[in-house]
This record gives sequence, C-alpha cells and structure tokens, in this order.
Amino acid sequence: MLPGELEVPMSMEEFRLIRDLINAYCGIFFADDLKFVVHRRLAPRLAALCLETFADYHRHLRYDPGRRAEYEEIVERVTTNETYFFREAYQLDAFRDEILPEIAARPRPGGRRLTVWSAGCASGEEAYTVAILVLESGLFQPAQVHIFGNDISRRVLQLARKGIYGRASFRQTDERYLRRYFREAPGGYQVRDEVRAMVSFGQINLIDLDGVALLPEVDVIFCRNVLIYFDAESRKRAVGTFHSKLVHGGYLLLGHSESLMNLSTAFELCHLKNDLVYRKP
Amino acid sequence: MELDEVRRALQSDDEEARHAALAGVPADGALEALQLLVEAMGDESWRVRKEAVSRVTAWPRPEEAAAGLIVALGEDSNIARRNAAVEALGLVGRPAVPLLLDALQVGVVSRKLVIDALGVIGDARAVGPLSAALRDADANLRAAAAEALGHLGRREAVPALQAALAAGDLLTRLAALEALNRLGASVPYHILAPLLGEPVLRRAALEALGFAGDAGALPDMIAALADRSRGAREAAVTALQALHAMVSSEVSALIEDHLHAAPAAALDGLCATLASDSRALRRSAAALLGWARRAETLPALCQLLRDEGTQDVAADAMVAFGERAAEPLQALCPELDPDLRALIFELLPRLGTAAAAPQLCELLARATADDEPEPAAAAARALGLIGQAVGLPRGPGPVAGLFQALGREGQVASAAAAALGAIGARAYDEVHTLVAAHGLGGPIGPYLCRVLGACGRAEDRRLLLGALRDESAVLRRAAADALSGLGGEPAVTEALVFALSDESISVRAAAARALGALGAAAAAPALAAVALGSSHEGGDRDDEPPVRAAALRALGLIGDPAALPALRALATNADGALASIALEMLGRLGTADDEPVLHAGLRHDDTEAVKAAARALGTRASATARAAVCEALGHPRWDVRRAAAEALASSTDAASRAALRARLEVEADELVRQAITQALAQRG
Ligand SMILES: C[S@@+](CC[C@H](N)C(=O)[O-])C[C@H]1O[C@@H](n2cnc3c(N)ncnc32)[C@H](O)[C@@H]1O
Repeated sequence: MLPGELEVPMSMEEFRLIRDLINAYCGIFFADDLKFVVHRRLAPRLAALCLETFADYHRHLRYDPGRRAEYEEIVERVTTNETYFFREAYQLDAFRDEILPEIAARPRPGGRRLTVWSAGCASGEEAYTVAILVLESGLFQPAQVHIFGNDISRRVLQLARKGIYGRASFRQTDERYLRRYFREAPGGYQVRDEVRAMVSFGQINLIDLDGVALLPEVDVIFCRNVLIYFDAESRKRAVGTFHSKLVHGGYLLLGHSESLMNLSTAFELCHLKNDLVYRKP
Repeated sequence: MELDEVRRALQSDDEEARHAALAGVPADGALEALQLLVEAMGDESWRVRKEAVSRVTAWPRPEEAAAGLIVALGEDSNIARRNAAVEALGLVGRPAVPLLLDALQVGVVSRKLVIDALGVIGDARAVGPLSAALRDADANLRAAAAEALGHLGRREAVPALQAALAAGDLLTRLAALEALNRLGASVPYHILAPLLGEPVLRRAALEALGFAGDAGALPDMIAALADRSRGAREAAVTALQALHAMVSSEVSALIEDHLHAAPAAALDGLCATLASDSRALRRSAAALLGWARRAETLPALCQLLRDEGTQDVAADAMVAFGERAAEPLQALCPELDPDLRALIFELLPRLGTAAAAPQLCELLARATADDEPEPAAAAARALGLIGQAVGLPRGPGPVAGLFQALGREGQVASAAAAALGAIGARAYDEVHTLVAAHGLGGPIGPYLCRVLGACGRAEDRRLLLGALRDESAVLRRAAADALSGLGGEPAVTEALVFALSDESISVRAAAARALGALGAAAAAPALAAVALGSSHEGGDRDDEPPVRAAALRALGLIGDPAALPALRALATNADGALASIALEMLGRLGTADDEPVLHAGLRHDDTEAVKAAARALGTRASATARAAVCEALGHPRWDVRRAAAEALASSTDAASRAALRARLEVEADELVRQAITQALAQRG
C-alpha cells in the first residue's frame, strides 16, 4: 500500500498510543516524524484483522486475547534485520587478537571455556562470524565454546537456524573463509556443521527479563546495531541486563558510533589496539 | 577563587584544571574577569573554549561583553579565539549590534569578521551598513557583506544585492546571487540569463530561475538538466519544481509540456538525480518525471517505490502517466522482484479507466497465482479496486483467478475475498453464480461468506443461516460476521441470538457483534445477560471477556435503555476492556443517575477506562461532572489529559474555561495543547 493511498488515516494520537505500546513491548521507538513508516507498515494489519480504524487496532493490542501474536506480527514489520558476515572488521580483529587471548589466559576451574552472546543476531551472520573467529584463533576446543544468538523476530531466527545465505551476506567476507567454513547449497552457501554446532538460537526479547533469564553468564556480548532503534529508557534497561549477564571482566561490544554515554557508568572503557570496547569491572 | 589563582589555573597543562578554573571566574566581576574569559576562548581544548563562550555570553552586561569580544576579533594570532568571538557575538545578539556597526565604520578590527558577526545576529539595523559595504573597494569584504545579507533574511536588502550582481568580480556576484536565492528573491530573467554562461555562477543562476517566475527561462532550465556538472543539474531540478509551484496552472502545464518534449539527455539527468543522497532532490526529480510522462523513465521511477521516503511521489508520478503507463508497466512487471511487483500492482487502480484494460487485468489475474504472497495479494486488491471503481473487462479471467486465490489462505485469500466482495457490489450476478455453484462448504467457505457479506444482498441470508449451523466453527463465525452486513429480519436475529450459545468463543463474539451492527432490539435482553457474565456455576451466562465486550458494545449500539443496569454494573469491572466499553456506552445512553459510576471510572486502573469516563462525564451538564473532568486535565498520562480537554469542548462555564487556560500554561505535550486550544476556541 502506498502513502497517500493509505485508505485508513492514522491520527497523531493513534500513532503515539500504538508507538508507545510497541516501545513497551520491544524497546523499539519511533519518533513523531516516523509516523509515516509505522502507518505504512501496519496499515495491512487492519484488513487482516477486519478492523476499521487504528483506534480499533490500539484496542486490539491492549485487550485482545490474541494480542501476543499481533505483537509478533508487528515485530516482523517494524524491525530492521539488515546484517552480514564480518561486519565491522576492526572490532572483530580486536575480538580475535586481543579479547580471545585474554579470556583464554584466565584460570578457570574445568579448563578453558568461552561463552558469547550475540544479542539481536538477526539472521545469524554475526553469531556464525564469532564462531568462525573463535575457530580461527585456535584458542578453544570447539566443544567448550557456546555461542548464543537471540532475536525477537521469528522470521530471522528461522533463517539463522537454516544457515543458508545469499550473496548480500558475504559482501565483506574473505574468499578464504567462504571456502573453509561454508559449502554450496541451494540458494547460496550454507554454514558448515562444525560451525553450526557451536551456535544456538532462541527467541528472546532483550527487554523481557524472563526471557533473558534463560541465558547463562557470558564472557562477551555483541550487541551491535540493535540499541540504535531503542529509546533511552529501553537502552538503559538492555544495558543493565547485559551487565548482569556478563562475568567480571566480560566484554560488551557495541556497533561503531554506539556508546554507553548517558546510559551506564557500570562499565569501564577499555582501550585495545584495534578498538575501544566496554568491560565489566 | 581569586582572579590571580584563576589566571594561574588557566595556564595549567591539564585541560580538566583549565576547564574547572572557568567556574571560579566571578560572573559579575570586573573587566579583568571578562578579559580572562575572552582569553580562554582561545584555549587549545574545545571544551574549554566552549565553556568560556558560554560564560562570556552570560555576562550580565552584554554591551561590555560585546566590546571585549570585538577586541578579540582584531587578534590575528589566535584563529580559534577569533572564530569563537564571532560565535559568541552571535549569541550576545542585539545588544552587540551598535558596537559592531561602529567597528565597521572605524575599521580597526577585521571588518570582515564584524560583518560575519552581523550576519549571524540577523538584526535589521545592519541592512543599511551592509548594503553600503557591497560597494566597498575590498572584494572579500563585498562578498562577506553579501553573504551576511543573505543570512539576515531581510527583503530590504534585495535592491542592493541585485545591484551587486553587476559588480566586476565573480566572487561578489556569486555571493550576491546566493544571498538573493537564500532570500527567495525574484530576479528578472534578463538579468540572470547572462550569468548562466558564467561557469562559476551557473549553478546559483539556475537556482535563481526557480524564483524568477518566468516561463521564458524554460528552455535554459530544461537544457541544464543535461548539464555536465551535477550541481547545475540539481539546481535545475530544484528550480523547475519551485517554478511549477509558483506559477498559474496554464504556465505549469507549459512546464509539463516542455518536460514531455525534453531531449533524452535531460531525462537521463533527471533519472540520475533519483539516486541523489538528498531526499528532497530525489522527490523533486520524481515529481518532474511525473510531469514528463515519458515511458522510458518508468523503470527508474519504479525503483524509487522501494524507498519509503520517496515512495509517495514516485507513485504519484507514475499515476500521472495515466494510460501511457499501462503497457510499459505490464512489460516491466515480470522482470521485477516480488516486492516491487507488489508495489506496482498496488498503484495500478489509480490509473483509472486505463487500469481496466483487458491485458492489464489478465496480468493481474495471473499474478494472483504468483508464488510470492505479497504480489499475489496486491494483485487481488488491485482487481477489487478496479472492479469496484470502473468495472472489470469482459471475460471470466479476473473473477476466476480471484476465486482460485481463495484456496491459498492467509493474506492472499483475504485479499481475494475482499476483492470479490468489492466486485460483487457492482457485478453481483457474476460473483454470486460462482459462489452458489461452489456452496459455502470446504476450506474456502469462510472466505465465500466474506464475499457474500460484502455483496450485501438480502437474498443470501438463507445460505448464510445454513452456514451458521455448520460443523466448522470457522465457517460459523464467518457466517455470523457476514450476516451483519445483510440487514435484519426476525429469523436472522433469532439465529444470531441462539448463536450466543455456541461452544466457540469466536462464534459467540461474532454473533454479538452482528446483533449490534444490525441494531437488533429484540436481542437486547439476551445480550445484557451475556454481558453481565455468569453468576452461578455452570450458568448459561458468558464468562469470556471478548464475548462480554462484544455483547456490551452491541447493547450500546442498539441503544435500548433496558441495557442500562448491565452497563452500570460493568462500568466498575476490574477488566479495563469491559469497563471502558460500559463507560463509553453510558456516556451515550445513560442518565444523571449514572454520575457516581462515571466518577468511579475516573479512578480505574486502566487508562482506557479513565478516558471513557472522562468523555462520558463531558456529556453531562452538572458542575460536579465538569469539575471531575477538569481535574483529569492534570492526569499523568497525556492521552487522558487530551481526552479530558476534548470532553470539555462543549462546556461553557467559567470554571472549565479557567481550568483549560491554567492547564495550557503548563502543558508541554503538543497533542494535549492542541486539544485545549481547540476546546477554548470552540467556546470563544
Ligand atoms: C540491524 S539488526 C543487527 C544484526 C547484527 N547484530 C548486526 O549488527 O549485523 C537488529 C536486530 O535486532 C533485533 N531486535 C530489535 N529489537 C529487539 C528486542 N527487543 N529483542 C531482541 N532483538 C531485537 C531485530 O529483530 C533485528 O534483527
């Protein structure tokens, strides 16, 4: 449906009520000037639910016994799931060459282990990239490595589990890695089983504490290009969750241009050769 | 801190210490203190400079601050301080103007910087002196004056700037032209024409043509769309759109004709602009392509549909092609990816009668079988809209295609059902024959019910009443929904009332909704019983909130006063969904006796109930009701405050009015302010 052609108008009041519900559900926040985006993306839902106005839709989201399913539907429509392998190389260099050796050197009862969380993993490229880097480092036994990827969108998790990717996912990938860790499959390349064995995916909403409770303590969290869509309150909440899930000395890696400024003082800034990262003291 | 101490701290190597030292400068202190601050504006750290600027601009005697800053303009040694001084003078604002004008006369400090500062301040007193400076012997100064006049935003400067267009040097002419553009001043074409040939001035001159309002410039502007320089091409795009917006409809038609006849290179230039980083430019270029209506540009316009920031103009542009678009789009569709195909299908109905071309409708009919659901659903919607607005071409293709698509479930089937319903409103027989031949059974039965509901013919009641007894709950629900559009008669009411005892919640809720939509007064007692919910174990009353909510709403729609006891009982229910509907309906049907219940509603935990209570109280004339709504103006939630303001729109008493005004004083939320302003205006 095209704007200007949208049959059912959305008033500013309706927009704000609905956008606040979306925000409370998943942290994603739409400023007033993005009303047209929300309007366009949700307009088809009215017909699908046989509702006449966005006020009805708001009511549906508040009270309908099936509202939970509708929130999931909204998530599929409003999230940006863009991602690819080896995104932000300098940070990944820091992870492989500086962070991994540091963690490997820590004395641990039961030997070397590594747990990494890719928070907001979208279709899984980031989680698999982490797995590949860990294998490349040669510092850990694959069986001792657990990488968790979570996302709120079911659709992308499905793709992540399948592990088959097309061209666009490899825009930054070295030919060498492609040969070593992927095999050709219908529709692109599939991540090899030994890499997939290191990664688990689950549907967890970052701002739902019950969901996050399902994760163990982790050594490193990647949360890149996720919090940028949140409002300050939800960011704070997510960062608090990250803090509680990290071991002491654990790392939090945000996307480039993201920072904890005005969000949290519980982390220390850690100047690595390749990047600036946050660490839980 | 003593000044000397501050002075020493400001010499420290530690940035933090210097920054902290500024806090020790007494704010109303002696001139020396001010001098220290001005000095610190040249610090190597931007944080220190910024802090110093903010302290100087907060100096209690602004003229004094301005004088100090003007002195700093004269220092050639520290460029950072000079720039900070210009910025600070801008912040000091009006009190600095007389001193700056003096400085311009005297010329001890850099006059160029003085002019820059005047430009930043934007005070009208500077127009005269700056206009005079346009004739200064120093070319840099002339250019600076022109630039400053552009920033000033004062139309009085236009004659002097126009005169400067004839100056000898390019720098001044360019600055003057850019200033005129900034002011949106109209410069006659005959003055601009010679400037077009000057490479340095060409871009600005083209931009100026957008304000000149002279159709004689059209050939020049069109030619510039093919310019080698991107800046010139983009200026031409902006200018053509600005011109189109300011001229009469005859002249804008002329612009469109020129564009239609434009050489291929000009259109290529427009298509290239579609990829600009600037959203405004992309939009302008799309609009121009719409006026040009040239088939070869359709592929480029299609791509623009992908971008949410340009989608609407791109669609408008393609629609402007009218029937010219039909064939090329049809040829284009197979090559496009599914998302884009879907977007194109969505806009086809807007082509009007051209959309009903047999080939196009065949294409859409085939597309309802597209492997991808998005384009298939879009094609179905398009057929529905075309069928409803102008009628589909003869032949069984489209309707049969839609019928097939009902078997696909999900959004495709929903879209196909809605489409068949829309078509059936115009071509009932065609649609009805197919439905009757199939019967309402089987997996597509529920969709067929929707089709019949949309057709809205009383003769289909019998079929639907049959479906209401089917073994499939999905079909029963669909039948109940459909019956609500076919008008009431006793047999329908009776069947729907009985359906309130259905074992499926969704059927019961649908039956209640249908009874409300039909306004079936005879159903009021049954609905009231359902709404009130079960009072005893195993009783025949309904405990499911969605069913009770539907029943309540139906009662309100029917409007039978016999429903009042049920509404009153539920207005204080802990369930927000029920309470809010009951309160809303009491607002419509209730009497003065309900006021205590409405007041209680204002204290409900659920904001929807609170809003409903405020709106309901707004319909009451009593002073206590209005006072309660006035109080709700201070509610912590913006939507409640807004509802309260709207509810007070019809109150004419002084107390409500005063409460609204008082709230307006402190209200920060824009939507609430709007509602209050409107409420106040209505009674003014
Ligand atoms: C742009 S992707 C980032 C993917 C990857 N981290 C990267 O940087 O390439 C953002 C993802 O965050 C997910 N997301 C948004 N809100 C979320 C929430 N509340 N909980 C979990 N995931 C969320 C979205 O579904 C989306 O897949």
